[in-house]
Amino acid sequence: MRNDTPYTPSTAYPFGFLDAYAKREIRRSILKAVALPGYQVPYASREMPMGRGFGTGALQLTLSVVGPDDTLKVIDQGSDDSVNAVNLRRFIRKTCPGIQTTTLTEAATVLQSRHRIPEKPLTEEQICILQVPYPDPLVYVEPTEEKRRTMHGEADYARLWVKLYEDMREFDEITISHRYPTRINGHYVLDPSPIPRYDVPKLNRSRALILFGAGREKKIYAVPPFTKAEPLTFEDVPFRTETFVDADGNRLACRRCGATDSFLDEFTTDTGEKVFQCSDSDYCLSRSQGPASAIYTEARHDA
Amino acid sequence: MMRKVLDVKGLSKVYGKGCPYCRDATGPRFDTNICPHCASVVAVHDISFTLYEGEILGVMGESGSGKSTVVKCLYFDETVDGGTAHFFDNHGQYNLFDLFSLNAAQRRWLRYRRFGMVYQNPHMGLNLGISAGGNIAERLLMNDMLIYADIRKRASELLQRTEVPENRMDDLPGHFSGGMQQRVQIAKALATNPPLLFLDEVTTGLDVSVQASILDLIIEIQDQLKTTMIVVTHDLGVIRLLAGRTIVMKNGCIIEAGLTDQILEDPQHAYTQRLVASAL
Amino acid sequence: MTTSPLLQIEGLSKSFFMHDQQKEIPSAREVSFRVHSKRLTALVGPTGAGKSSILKAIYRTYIPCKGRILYRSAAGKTVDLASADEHTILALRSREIGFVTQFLFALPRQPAIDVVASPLYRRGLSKADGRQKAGALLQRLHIPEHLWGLSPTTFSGGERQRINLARGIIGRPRLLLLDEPTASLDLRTTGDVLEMITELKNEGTGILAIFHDPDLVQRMADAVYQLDRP
Repeated sequence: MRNDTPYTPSTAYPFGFLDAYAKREIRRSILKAVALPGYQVPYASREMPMGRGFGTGALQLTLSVVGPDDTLKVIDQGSDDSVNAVNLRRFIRKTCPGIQTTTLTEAATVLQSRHRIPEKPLTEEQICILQVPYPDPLVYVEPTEEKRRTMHGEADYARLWVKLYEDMREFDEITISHRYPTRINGHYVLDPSPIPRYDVPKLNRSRALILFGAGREKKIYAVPPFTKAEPLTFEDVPFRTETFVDADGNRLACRRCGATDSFLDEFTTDTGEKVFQCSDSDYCLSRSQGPASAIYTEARHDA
Repeated sequence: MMRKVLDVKGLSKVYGKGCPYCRDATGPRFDTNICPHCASVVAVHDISFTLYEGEILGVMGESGSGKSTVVKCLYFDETVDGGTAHFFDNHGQYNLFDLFSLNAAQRRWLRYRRFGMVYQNPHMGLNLGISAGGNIAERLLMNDMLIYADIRKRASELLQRTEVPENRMDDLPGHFSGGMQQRVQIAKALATNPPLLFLDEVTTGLDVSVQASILDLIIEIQDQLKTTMIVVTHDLGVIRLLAGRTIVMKNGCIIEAGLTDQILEDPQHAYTQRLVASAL
Repeated sequence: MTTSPLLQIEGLSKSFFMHDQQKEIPSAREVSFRVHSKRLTALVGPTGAGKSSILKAIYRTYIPCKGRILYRSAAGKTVDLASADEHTILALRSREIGFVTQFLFALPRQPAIDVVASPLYRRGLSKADGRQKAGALLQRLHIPEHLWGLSPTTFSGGERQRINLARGIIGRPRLLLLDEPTASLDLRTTGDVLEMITELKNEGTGILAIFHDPDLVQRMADAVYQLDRP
């Protein structure tokens, strides 16, 4: 309970902004979520000093699990530099005195992310916390929450599969690009947050604990380490991730680091040329300039 | 040897809070199913019948007689307030209304794999926002058939059997005619080859020629698949063509039960006599 | 005849109670007779004597008011058709007892050949086998082949009657109830129908028949039971 120190002189807020009871409640919910892989645990999402939808769910999880000796990485769409990531990181550092921040994936003990799971493999020592706008994959097929809960309880997912069937019928492929419904440990199907299909296999038997926080919808769920995570698909229609190939079928490479094994973002340059670049900025920088160069110093970063 | 499929005893269903007098103050004797003491509706009171493999039982009555409620209770669309129902399957015996012996998931399993239901209103049985094939796929997916090519094949077979043109398989049933919607509903209900099928006023509101073709289809299914069925209808013609045995309901009670030709040609109860006379 | 009868009717009475008129209408009173295998028993009597009612009571389309209808089944059991449960009656109807009336029973769109073969379908015969058997019967009854695929609801009275007969006898019933099977037939087809009835009888079926024509009774019946108005 090291991080439950009542008040810190610098901020006049408790360590981690949330009061001790709020953090305990969230931790209890996390334990429940870990015990029931994929199950959406309701919790009392607190008001945060930022709008819901900016990652307040994941932020509450982060604030409840970090201690002063943790090292934190916050990314948004793979980048440590986007406004959302910078603001969240700044807020956490202000309210959690002593905490280190980093952009280096392997240096972090706690990672909060929106839309991506880092390229570098996570380890047992790490917790990855994903920001979730809509936690329930059944919301497309069943508007009533009460019925959805029953469906989850009975693992009644036929109607989700019907959606996949209708996709196949119309487009000859499953067109879901992100938030791909994924079955955890053979029972609950969860919404893995808006990560691309490319990242979904990283959930399967992940070494790191992966936590999901939906602040507006007041839900916490988890994929515990080494747990089976299977994207829903037909037995004869394999799950496919984004391939990033050109018209000739060659794998595209990052224009900066030359990687051919990463998730690429597409840009159009001023000259109208289409270029591709790693979405994970830490991965890209580590490859092109070496790990050391990728570490942000606090001064440089939040000056 | 005839095998028992369903054994219903004392099935009762009350809408409203109910009171100790409900059951003694309603029914055909009082010509009402509304309790004068507490205003509850005794929709079904003390219904018992047995069903053997491959037979079609007709449940006949006017609107409000409780006939639809009987099948809705058996299909778990409605909860019951009394009575038992045993369903006999190759795999064993299920005590349908006993919460202690069947949990929600087991009921769902029975509902989606061993029973089929065709409603009067296709909106009840079909999701009109997904294709005809998708509607059938739902049943198969509930049955853990997860191979896309197999699902397509089976859905197409079922639609063929129910005479839905194959090129309509990928169309939304919301755009189909009433008769075709019923065919899709029947195809969906048959998807898992259920041994027991409930048909609730399936031809009501259709053109006479369309009615005839649906009745044909039902007979063919019975001949070929030996599916046991309960056919709920107010139409004596449907009863005559389909049902071997018939129960006649009024105000939530069975007032007469017998062989269908006997019910129609030698009705015993005053109400049935009136009903039959008015239809001829 | 020394063998025990196929059907033994003891003190059978039937009346109808019309609730709206609060009136009882008698139809048959204290009727007793026997039907043997390999024999044709004819019921004769004036209109209103309850001939058809007795056939229907045996088939249980009518519920007998009094008396017993003892039927010796293929399994060697004696069943009282007056009181047997409905499933027993349905089982006997599908396998042992046939009923041919003047009124056609057919589904609206069903082709004649399937109408005839449907008792066989109910017994699990395939469509091909059923149709083959039905076709042979229709041929013998001189129903032109181009009619086989059409619904008999459009047929002439005589054609319908032959369809009815074919349907009634295709399952080779042990007991056959015939209600004026030749009422609307011409001379030639009447001959065909009688020939088939005789054939069935010789193969072992016990037949209980009503004929509209006294000459036919003379010609066909091995035994005659006279009924009077109740």
